[in-house]
Amino acid sequence: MIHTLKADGIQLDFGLRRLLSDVYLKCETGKITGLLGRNGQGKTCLMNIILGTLNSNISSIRFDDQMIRNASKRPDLLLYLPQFNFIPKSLSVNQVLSDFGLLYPDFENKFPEFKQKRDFKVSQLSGGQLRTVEIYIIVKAPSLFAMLDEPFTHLNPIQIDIIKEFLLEEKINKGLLITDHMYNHLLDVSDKVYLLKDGKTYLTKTIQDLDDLGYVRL
Amino acid sequence: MHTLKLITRFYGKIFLANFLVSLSCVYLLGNYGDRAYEIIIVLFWYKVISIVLLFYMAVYYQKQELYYYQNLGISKLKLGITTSVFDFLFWLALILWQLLLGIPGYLFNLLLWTILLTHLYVYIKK
Repeated sequence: MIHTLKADGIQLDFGLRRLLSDVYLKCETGKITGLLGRNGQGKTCLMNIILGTLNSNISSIRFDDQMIRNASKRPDLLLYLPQFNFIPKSLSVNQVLSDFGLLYPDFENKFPEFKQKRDFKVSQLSGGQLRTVEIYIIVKAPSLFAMLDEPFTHLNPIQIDIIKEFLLEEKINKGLLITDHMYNHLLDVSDKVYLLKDGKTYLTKTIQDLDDLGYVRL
Repeated sequence: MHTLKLITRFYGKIFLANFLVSLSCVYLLGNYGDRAYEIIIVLFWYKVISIVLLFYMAVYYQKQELYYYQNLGISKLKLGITTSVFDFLFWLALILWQLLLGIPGYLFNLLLWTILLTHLYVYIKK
């Protein structure tokens, strides 16, 4: 069964500035939805509104056409990877996986660079390794949807390729909404891509559309 | 059980400060002897305000880590209420013990040093 997450009619003002005015976004399980936009266009705010941690003037967030006001209290529905590191530094890699009900051997098989690092503290990992653990728990833990805010930050090119492969494998199990400035990587993995510009979302199909909308220069 | 474990982990970070506040209350009560009842209201508010402030500080300095708990289904509100209620009840138990039975000085010192040394050990291990 395909589940849907829809966000529409979102309006967000910061003082006199209207940041979001006409947003429509639809995610489905089994698909990766990309969200592009320049800095300050409101991508993270939009994710926080969907999550329910940021109040907007008007919004409609629906899971399978059912309105949900605070998805942050429903990890079975939606998980969120913020753009900064969020795992407590004192925990070991194994403790983190165990908290999310995941097994270390599965993780180790997928990411061989973590062999012998089961008991490493999170603070002992490199930036790329830490980001890999964060992406893994959010994508692999059971939930219908996951939102990833700048997942490719801190990752080296090899890690990015492994993560892209991992995302494509895991999209069978859930719907993913990803935003990142590395648009080439995002386009590689996404089934559809929205561009957030001047408070509105535009569904784009090709890189030419992104050029026409002024996001990239070809 | 899983949720309790996670909340305990969060509480562990603010336990020492809260515990020292509770011990200072017990110490003051012991010093006041028969007139202990005179300061009980002051100590009550001292404890309540310190619980709020310490939780606020923990949230302020570990804002990013709250997403970890949120992704595990534990909201900031749940963390705040659970740790505050537990800490207040623990304080109440210590106060009642002191008022009704009196905590012997050696036990008081033993408790204080055990907690401080445990924390020092955990801190060094980290």
